[in-house]
Amino acid sequence: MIDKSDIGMWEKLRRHRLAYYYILPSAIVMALITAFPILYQIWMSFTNFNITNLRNPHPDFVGLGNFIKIFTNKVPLENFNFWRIFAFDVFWTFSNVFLHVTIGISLAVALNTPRLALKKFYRTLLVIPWAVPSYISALIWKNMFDVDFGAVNQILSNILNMTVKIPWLTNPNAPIKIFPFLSYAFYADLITNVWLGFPFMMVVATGALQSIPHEIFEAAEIDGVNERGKFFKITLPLIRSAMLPAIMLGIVWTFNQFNVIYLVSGGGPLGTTEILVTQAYKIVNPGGLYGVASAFGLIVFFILLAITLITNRITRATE
Amino acid sequence: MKKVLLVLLVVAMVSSFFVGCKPKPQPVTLTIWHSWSGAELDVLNEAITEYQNQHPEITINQLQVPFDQLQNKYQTEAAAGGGPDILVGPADWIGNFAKANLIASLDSYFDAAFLADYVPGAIEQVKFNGSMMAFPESTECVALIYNKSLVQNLPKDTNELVTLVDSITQGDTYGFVYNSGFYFTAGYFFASGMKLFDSNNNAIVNQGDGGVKTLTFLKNLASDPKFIVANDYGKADSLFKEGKAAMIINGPWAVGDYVKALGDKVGVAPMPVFAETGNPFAPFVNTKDFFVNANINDTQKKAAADFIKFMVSKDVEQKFFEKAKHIPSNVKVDTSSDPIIGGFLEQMKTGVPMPIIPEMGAVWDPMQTAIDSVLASKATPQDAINTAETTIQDKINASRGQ
Repeated sequence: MIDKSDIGMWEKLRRHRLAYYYILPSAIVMALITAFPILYQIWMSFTNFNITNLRNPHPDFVGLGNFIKIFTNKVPLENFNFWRIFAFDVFWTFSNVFLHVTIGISLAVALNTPRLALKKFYRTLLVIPWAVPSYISALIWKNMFDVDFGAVNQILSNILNMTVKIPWLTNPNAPIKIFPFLSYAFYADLITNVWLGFPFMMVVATGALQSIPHEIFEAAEIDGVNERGKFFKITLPLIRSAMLPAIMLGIVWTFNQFNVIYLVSGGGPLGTTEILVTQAYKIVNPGGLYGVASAFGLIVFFILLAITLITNRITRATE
Repeated sequence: MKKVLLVLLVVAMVSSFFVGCKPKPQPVTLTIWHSWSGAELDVLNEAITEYQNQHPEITINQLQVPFDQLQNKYQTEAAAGGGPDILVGPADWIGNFAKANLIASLDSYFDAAFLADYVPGAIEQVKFNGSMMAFPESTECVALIYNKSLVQNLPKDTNELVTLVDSITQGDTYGFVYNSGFYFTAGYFFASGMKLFDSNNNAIVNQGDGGVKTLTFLKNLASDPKFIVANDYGKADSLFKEGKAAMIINGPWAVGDYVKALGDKVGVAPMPVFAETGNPFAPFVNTKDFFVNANINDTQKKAAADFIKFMVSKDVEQKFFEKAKHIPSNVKVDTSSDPIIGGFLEQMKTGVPMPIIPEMGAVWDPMQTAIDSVLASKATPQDAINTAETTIQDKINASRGQ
């Protein structure tokens, strides 16, 4: 027997015809500005599309050639190494998010102290990095990291009372030997992005902290729990459900943090701080390899899809 | 009285019939993209105002784009069918632009009589496959720019240069802020015998030991704490203007601003001879040119060509020469009174013409990477130049669709 909920698609369309008329204009716009470019890019990724094909879009079909070039590091570009960039991007993401979360929660807990003087003032001050457009902050940090005239080296010189010339953005070697793949510029990028990123985590943590009733802490105090125990047994478990989505968001944001990398270190020196999105940009500009860049974009898409699926699974597990 | 009025009225009515007969010029808007700044930009703006006064029907919009973004911006926009009417850029862009059909041939707009007033070498450089693809505004090359109050005796070769710099550098004054960009330091690569291309336009930068010699030389400079060796144009530029750098490498386009900042302390001379081979510094000699967009219609092209004729006229080039120290392409410009230009002209004698073939575009970044990786001790000079050769050839092959 045919169940009533099992009616055919055309029947459904017919019954809700008016609704489809309503969404038709926006559906057409979406098809033009979203669906078409995506499909066009997928087509481009299988061709040797280059600058001359922009007006004469008849490039040669190269099959999986672009993907093979990327995975075997045969893209004709300086310092191109897909696997190194991918590994660096993962390391970049997790080191950043770890620092964002620990600094954010610490500050939130500190500012949540009852009867703290000037609490509102501190909170405003700490949210400023988040309020300034990130490309402006990034450009200011870039200048502060100049080896001869940057504020960072000058302040360090004054504090240590000696000439400090850390080649933040120019030396591709590793200052810390146990991480041989992290150049000085990585630490410059990291400092900038931590400064930019912790306020978000702090705001989320503050919101979650304020929803914890004081009675719980008072009860714990009566039971003789010390401060450390209160933090790990009460605070952390109770803000966990608020922090997890924020952390997942932070992972995706940092993985694609174009502004900081591109403006502070420019992916350099010698490509040591390149992440996937900045490399994708450079394949087109100045590389001019549109076909390879499309394939690269698809690869980044699948990596992010995987991250999102894992994210969804973890967050659902916490519900 | 009435009769007078009547006559006036009739005259007014009759003359009004003829109003439509006088050919009224169509309004034209021209857009020009360039990377001129400082004194050059002032001259450009003056010239535009003057041209608009002479031709009220023409409006000219200028847009300044940072030099390192200008080529890509134009390439992307023009390839998609847009872009400005006129572009100002160096001649080595011609090959790629012409191959991608982004710039118009100018053969039909400039006749032999007009071209007779221009430096033949400059006109020769803008020809691609026999067609004139751009119009030269000025010629340029890099040379040694020095502050006369800090440098008394010019060094003859690179050994003397090192000794001199070591004696000048003190406190926050530097003897030489050496720009290690490939364009700026290319003169020493050619002085040591390096070649870019063979007769089929394939890369041969690692043949012979020229590349290795120059990279070793640069590494020695960088390891001397008295030198600042950095691929940082802005730093060299601002230190020189502040009088904190005794010597830098730069081109004529910057001198106008230096004279503004330091007055007659600015001197220009050929770079010291490369001591190891005894050959002179051989910088790229290039023209700065006006390009016309291939996408615009014939009326616009005609208007663009007319404006370019005005920009390269004796009067405008004289202003570019006097205020911005451009070395004019127009032979009628009077340059006799200027020792600064003399320094660049002297340096040009030992220069090499910049290749304008499309393959040239593949050279810049790999050579820069070779320099940077040697300066950072990431590669030996030999490995660095081998890698550069491979990357350049890969890029050339990719652009040929191989």
